[in-house]
Amino acid sequence: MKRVVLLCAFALLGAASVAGARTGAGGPAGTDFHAPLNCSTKPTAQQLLSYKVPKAKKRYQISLMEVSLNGYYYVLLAYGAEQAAKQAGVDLRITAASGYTTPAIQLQQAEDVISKGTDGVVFAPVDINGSVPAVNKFKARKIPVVQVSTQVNSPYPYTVMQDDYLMGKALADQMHKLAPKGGEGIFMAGPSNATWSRKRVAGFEDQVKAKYPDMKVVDAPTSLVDPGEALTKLTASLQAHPKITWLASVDYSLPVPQAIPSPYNKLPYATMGFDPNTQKAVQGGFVKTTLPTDAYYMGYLGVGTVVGLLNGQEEPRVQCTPYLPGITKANATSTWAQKQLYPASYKPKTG
Amino acid sequence: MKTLRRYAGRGITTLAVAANLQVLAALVALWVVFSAWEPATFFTGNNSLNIARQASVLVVVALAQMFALLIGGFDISVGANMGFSGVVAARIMIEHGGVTVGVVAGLLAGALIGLVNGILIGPLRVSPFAATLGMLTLLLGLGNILSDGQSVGNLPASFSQIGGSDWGRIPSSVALAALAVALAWLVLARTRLGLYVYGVGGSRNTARLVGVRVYAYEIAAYVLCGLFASFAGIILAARLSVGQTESGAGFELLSIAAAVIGGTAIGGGIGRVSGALLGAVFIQVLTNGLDVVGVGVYVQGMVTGIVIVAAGVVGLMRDPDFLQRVRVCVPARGRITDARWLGSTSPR
Amino acid sequence: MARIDITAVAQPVRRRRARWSGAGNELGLVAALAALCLVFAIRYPSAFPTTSNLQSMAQVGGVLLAVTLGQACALLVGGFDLSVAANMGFVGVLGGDMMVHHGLAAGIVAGVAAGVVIGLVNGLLIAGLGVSPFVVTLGMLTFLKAFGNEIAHGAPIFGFPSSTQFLGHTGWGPIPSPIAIAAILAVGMWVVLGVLRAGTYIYGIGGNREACRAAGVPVLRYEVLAYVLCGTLASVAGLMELSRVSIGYVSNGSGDDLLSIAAAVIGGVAIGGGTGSLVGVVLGVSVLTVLTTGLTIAGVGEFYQDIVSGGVIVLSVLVARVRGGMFPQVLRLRSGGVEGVLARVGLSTTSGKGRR
Repeated sequence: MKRVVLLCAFALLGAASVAGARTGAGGPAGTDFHAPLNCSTKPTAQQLLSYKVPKAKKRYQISLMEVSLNGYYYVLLAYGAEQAAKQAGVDLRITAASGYTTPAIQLQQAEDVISKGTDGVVFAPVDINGSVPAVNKFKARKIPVVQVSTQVNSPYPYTVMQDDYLMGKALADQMHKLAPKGGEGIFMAGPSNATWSRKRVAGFEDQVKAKYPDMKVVDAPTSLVDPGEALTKLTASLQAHPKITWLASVDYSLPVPQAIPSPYNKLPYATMGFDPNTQKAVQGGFVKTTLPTDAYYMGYLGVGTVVGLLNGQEEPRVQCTPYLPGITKANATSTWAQKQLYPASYKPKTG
Repeated sequence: MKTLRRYAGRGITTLAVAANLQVLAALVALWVVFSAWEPATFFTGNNSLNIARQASVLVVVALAQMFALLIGGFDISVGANMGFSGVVAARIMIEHGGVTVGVVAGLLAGALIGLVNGILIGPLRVSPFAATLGMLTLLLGLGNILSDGQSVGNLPASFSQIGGSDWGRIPSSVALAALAVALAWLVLARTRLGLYVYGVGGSRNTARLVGVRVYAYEIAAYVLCGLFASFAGIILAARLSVGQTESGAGFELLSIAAAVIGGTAIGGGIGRVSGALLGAVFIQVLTNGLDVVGVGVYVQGMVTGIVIVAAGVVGLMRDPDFLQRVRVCVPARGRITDARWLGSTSPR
Repeated sequence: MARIDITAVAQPVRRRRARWSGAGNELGLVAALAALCLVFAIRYPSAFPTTSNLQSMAQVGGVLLAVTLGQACALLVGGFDLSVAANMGFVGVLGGDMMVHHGLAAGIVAGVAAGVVIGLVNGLLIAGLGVSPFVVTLGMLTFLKAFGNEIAHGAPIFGFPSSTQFLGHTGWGPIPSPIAIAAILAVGMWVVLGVLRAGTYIYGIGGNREACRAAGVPVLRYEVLAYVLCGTLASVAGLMELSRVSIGYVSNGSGDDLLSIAAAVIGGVAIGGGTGSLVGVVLGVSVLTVLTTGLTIAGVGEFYQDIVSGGVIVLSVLVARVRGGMFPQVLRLRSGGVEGVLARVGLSTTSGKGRR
């Protein structure tokens, strides 16, 4: 009797697994990772450097809702937003969920932000679909929302964002410049369920397929945004593909450039994003090119756009921040590169 | 039999009442502090409604966890179960139409997960930690494959009726949580099953000697745990309007914290539905309050960590032997020492 | 006090329990490991059975071994520690910060000291006050993550002196530094748990706390010691990880909390205390490392890897039960084998049931 129950249970679970694997192969009708953003404006690096946030007509309460505050990218975004708030003369309140798996926390924070009272929101969605209810709460109260960093599946918010798909394509271009003979390479991807990472991977692979037949992505291991895990995955992948001639990743910490085992640390390595350690790595030759993600400007322009909207101005629906020029040894300390960093003493004021 | 009667849901012990009173007092104190701090925002009807909405999911998971705790184990797969059931419900809803079919499928998935956990932990005697850790890892993989690693959106609008939108003036999630509380109370306090769950958790040996089929009730407790967890997962999915595999992340630990704060003993046999309810509300008031009064993100984490440990210590302080134990600083014999070891605590 | 073998007193069991320096039921593990290696070697002859792959696995496995050795102490004494990963990340930030500003030695001292303090707090709360290990180490985990971020302002620490690389990045000669350090730690743990009296007591407490108390063992002291060892080893692993990945970051080591428990359990260390061996721990870590490396080489996706590791954890415990002769008893239950099962379950530690 017991044995029968047992067998049944395991058989059921096994069947569920197989069924899951089967249906999963097709995948639900989800996001199209192979599409660029529909930009209304594409400011260049020069235009961004000269951009000034508008003065607020009165002291608005602005909320910046972040995915997390654990990581340079997020803190830089907060820094940009704080700078803009200071210049515009508005109050800024920052909240942060606990990463890309916590839409429940973000929704709760949206409700808390509304409780507390807010005039406009700069919103970094935790999940493309899971953050929709939070946006709808603001929509119902006619509070303007500017989405930054990654997309949410709603036509309501204005957008200030880097175009992940085009960044992926541009990275392939850069990579081919660094390895003109082409050859096999490994492309380190981010979390397998993160929209930004999948778009960058899609862009990179599409561009390689379309323009660089001599290049081949032999492996694209996924890892969480965890430098240790990424390094482990990379070293394992290197065992399977010891003859690679180039290396690229969707994020500068996957893996940390200085941690790449020799002799592979001599290979051309191109990545995305920027932080002080990456600046050192670029100067030290560990990274040949990195495409900045403009987190500073997402915060800065994001708050600027919200203030503009509250002032009653017209603002462009979708502003795409530039990822070019890429940062190389030659411009590692340029004004543009410095705009991708915040002062070492800065600490985000949350709550 | 003494244990059976003493800790059964209907035999109210002074211990349990004292526990509830303590949590209630702490809750009121917290409420007063936050209200005094931010009267304009915290102390409003709107914010109270917010807290109720936010707490409802946690209440239901805490009840789920409570079944596992009462029987003497625990379940760290409840969070993954929530996400997985949400994904199953969402996919079935989209592909086979019909909210009802989807919800039923989600609940069945949860019950099945509980059944496997129960069999592993009951008759096969795998430790609850190993069994539910394995289940957690497996469910994350399976759920992500089912959903292609994305959130499953575009669900029927009527799905929001079970957790998203309001029924009249009452948020549906709150109503559903109330239903779950009533069900859990009925099972634990008004049925033989409930009585035996307390009995087995209180003393497995005694229960066995009086002829209780221990394994059967262990399995039943984990099935209930899985079922309630998937119920919470479905409410969460409706609230977020998506099924996402990892959306339950964090609830496994929060649910244990809520139950323990509410006076459920890790180790089994002690705990009341009202306590779990109060514990969950306490945690939610704390997070909402910290948010509203504007405490920094990092400090919020530190406060939460301290509160979890403090709740554990306070829970032990309800034991009359505690003071003496602290004085000698040596764990005393008896019930609480037994209860120290998770999932394997019952004296035999 | 006369030195008595408490574990022997505490276990009138037919089945032999694994002692730290002795061999338990490791043959099955060796077979599993050999089979895994064989399958991967045959399937990927140019990638898997190579010196460089061995070195890269040693690099990864070395860090995991260090944490798992610590975790094993907490498990042996009858608890466990969910805060080891947060400990690693916290030490990465704190020790890293010290290294950048005051040099390597200061960083190591600060990191290890932090580990000792974390272990001490855990131990006192668990052994002294009797709070459940789950609650204590969960609270510690939450606190450490936030505290690490508070110190680092949410950003990674970088720019260590180059001497830091000898902790986990470069090799000591041909031997990758993580495995070399882990080997030293393993020898140390062999002495502590296998030779010294502390080991006897820790096993005894995990096996039967009341008997130990009755025999006059200072239970509190040795239980706290076990958690201090756990915290300290985790902090050393944190320093190794910091060196391996070249930055100090709060999420360094994330996942190693559950991974270390899984490795120990696969290696035959019982959740519930009192059973486990050094060889088993090393084998458990090896199996997990070979498995994950092999699956990555094979290009198996993250989600499927999750499913496999979940299955392996449960399966390894089940296999341990089969070896322990549990199944026949369970299946005979209905025909009146209650007493037999009681004796078996009551004294079998793999389920964590027989502590008193």
